[in-house]
Amino acid sequence: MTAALPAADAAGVRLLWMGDRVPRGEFPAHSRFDRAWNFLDGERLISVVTEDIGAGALSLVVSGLEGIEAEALIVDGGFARLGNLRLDLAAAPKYRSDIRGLTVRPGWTRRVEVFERCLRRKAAAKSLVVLFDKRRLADFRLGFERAFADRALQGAEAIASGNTGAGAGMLRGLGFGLTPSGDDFLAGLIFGLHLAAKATARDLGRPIADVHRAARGRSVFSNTFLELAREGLFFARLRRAAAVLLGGREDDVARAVDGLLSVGASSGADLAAGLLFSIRNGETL
Amino acid sequence: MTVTGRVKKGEYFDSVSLMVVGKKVTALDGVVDAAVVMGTRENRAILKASGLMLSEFGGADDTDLLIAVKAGSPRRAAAVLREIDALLDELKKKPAAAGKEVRPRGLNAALDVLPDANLALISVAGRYAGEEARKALEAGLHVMLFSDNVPLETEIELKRSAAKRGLLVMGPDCGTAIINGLPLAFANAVERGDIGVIGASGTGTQEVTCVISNSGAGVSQVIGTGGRDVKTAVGGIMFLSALKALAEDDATQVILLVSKPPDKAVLARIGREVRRITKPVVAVFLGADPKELARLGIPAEANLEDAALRAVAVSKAGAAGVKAPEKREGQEKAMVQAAKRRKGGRFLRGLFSGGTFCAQAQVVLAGKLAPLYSNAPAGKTRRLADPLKSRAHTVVDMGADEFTAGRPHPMIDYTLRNRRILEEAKDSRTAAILLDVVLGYGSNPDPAADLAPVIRKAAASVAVVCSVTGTDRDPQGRAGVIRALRAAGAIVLPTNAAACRVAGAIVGRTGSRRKTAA
Repeated sequence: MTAALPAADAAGVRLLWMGDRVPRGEFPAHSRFDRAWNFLDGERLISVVTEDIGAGALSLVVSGLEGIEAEALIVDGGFARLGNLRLDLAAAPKYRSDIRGLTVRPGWTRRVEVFERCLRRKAAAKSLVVLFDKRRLADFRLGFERAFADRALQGAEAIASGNTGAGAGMLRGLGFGLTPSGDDFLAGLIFGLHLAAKATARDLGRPIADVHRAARGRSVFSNTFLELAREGLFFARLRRAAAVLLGGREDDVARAVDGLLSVGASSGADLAAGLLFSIRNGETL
Repeated sequence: MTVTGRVKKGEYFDSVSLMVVGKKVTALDGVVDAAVVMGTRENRAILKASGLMLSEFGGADDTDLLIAVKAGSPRRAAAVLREIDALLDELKKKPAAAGKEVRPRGLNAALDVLPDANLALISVAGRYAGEEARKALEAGLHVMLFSDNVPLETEIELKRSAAKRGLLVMGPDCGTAIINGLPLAFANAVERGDIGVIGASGTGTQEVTCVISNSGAGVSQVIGTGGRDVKTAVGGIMFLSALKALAEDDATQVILLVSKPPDKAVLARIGREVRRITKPVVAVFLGADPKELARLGIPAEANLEDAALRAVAVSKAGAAGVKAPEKREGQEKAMVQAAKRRKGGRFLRGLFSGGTFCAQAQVVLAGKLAPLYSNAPAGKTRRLADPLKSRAHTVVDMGADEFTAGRPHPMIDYTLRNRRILEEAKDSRTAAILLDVVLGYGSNPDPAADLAPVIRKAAASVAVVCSVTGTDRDPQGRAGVIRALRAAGAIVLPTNAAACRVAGAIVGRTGSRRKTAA
């Protein structure tokens, strides 16, 4: 049936990347934003996104979607069906999301220092980069904002002192955004543990599992992201940042930070804060 | 105080949309506190901790959107809630269906839609911009290249090609132009008239066009060239092309040139062209040697304000050699006298969103305040070792790369600068803070809301001096912005040069004139 549908290319829709963990099945449309279209079946979420969002393990990167409507995304063998269009999955480049193939080179500590400096200078106001720069508390002006900042600081302190479960519980679902700042931070923390494990050749499977368990809530967006983090499946901008931190040039760190900070409103900054936090506090996690 | 709110079940908004709503809500009149957040357990806990919890939130879960507002009265709270609903409804509108809105994907498709277009404004990543500009020139279009990071060789090639075809390439990194009355990129809503402007400086161009418009005159064309055009490598190709174009333009009777100092050979070429033109020319080449300019026969003023006012005088008088109108020296003196004094405060801290304003500040303050430091030093100004840490008298270009990579420009997003204002105000050595506020298309849509609360805090301890570049026809409305900034405690001047004079004089009165390290 899918083969009989018109090819997406004919309608000016192009499949640019296919994530390496996109499952088969029928996924009803869930929510649509300017640059992301989400399809959900139970707990399984697939996103069709534009180029400026970029590739991910569970994403299809597509251009030319304006005006296209669909009630479901059906992934079946070498094709996907989006409304009345057929996307040729076999022909699309596959996005590799794990970091196994990334090279570790000397200079990790120095690159992390540069990463922190860039983050402190450039991150959005009211992000969890406040954990590394208390001057940013001045950005939290309203009562709710200050309560959020206080809670986030308490949660981070608990994690840093070894009380991972309690700390992650304070951060889970905390703050602004569709994926709340705390969830992005915790996902970043888990991603950071993967990085630290690779950079220092340690087994950090246990703290990864502990944080993941404490971080899961009831939001399918957050849970999907946390699950990808647990499995070490990095979205494109994060993977580029990982590549630079593990074995790139110092000069490239700033650009990698810029790429991360362009994710969402403060999601990228919160994620980067979590990444940095776990690298800095890895011994106690 | 009233707290009211609502639960939106099963409605999803992406984080950027929620941020936009959150920011707009906190700027609404009468809002004491507000939150637009997902209904997670932790968020409900902090809603409770901040006095925003409502009983209807108790049953919410992670996928529900909670909206809470605290305002001075039930009526105001209800009104704010309605505004939030309206904002969210606006965000929910579906993307346009196919056929209702045409969004061309490239130049050829755009020309199919608009076959009579004669100018392409290009704003793509630098490494692609050259190719797009080339295509536009081959299609017979003038080009405005907003993009930066375009290689120098590409710029030279494009401009040579354009000059052969009789076309303009404005840029790269050209942020301001007004062509046949149409403002392009960062530009202001100014009156039309007979003064043609050629600018290798974005905010410099904005200031002169606003002064011209606010003084009752108007502009015919504003042609930007990009900052590198007047360097030796590019040779002033577009500056000279624009001079020739304005010399032949019937609507232009006076020509105003705005730039930092061109390289020597380019300046000489400009001088030759100026002497050839019969229309009156006024120039400002910030920091250039006045003797050299006089030798080349270029009638130049020392700063943007003087240059704009002279162009207005020439335009109104219809002849060169007319004295520029008097500046408001008496008013400036009174402002200095009335300014806040901080005991022990000695230094000026200038925080600029416009690079040209930072450069001009160094020209105006040279010899008056020393030592002077900057992250973009010119002349005798010393380089600031750490752009984040002021030293002695400091003027900072917050539009420089170290502040803007990965972030919106400070003319749009005031976050970084607001933070720096408060830091400088807390520093006991600061006597005055100097700021520029640039209005117009593309700039921060509500500068007063973003800046006034910060100025209010800072002005409690130091003098805060602002220039406002804009017109009453700008989207932000100059008069309203000036009123709001003055109400917050700022001393507001109509030009950057005036603000520098006043701020310099305030510091001169409060501080020691001895050369002292910070």
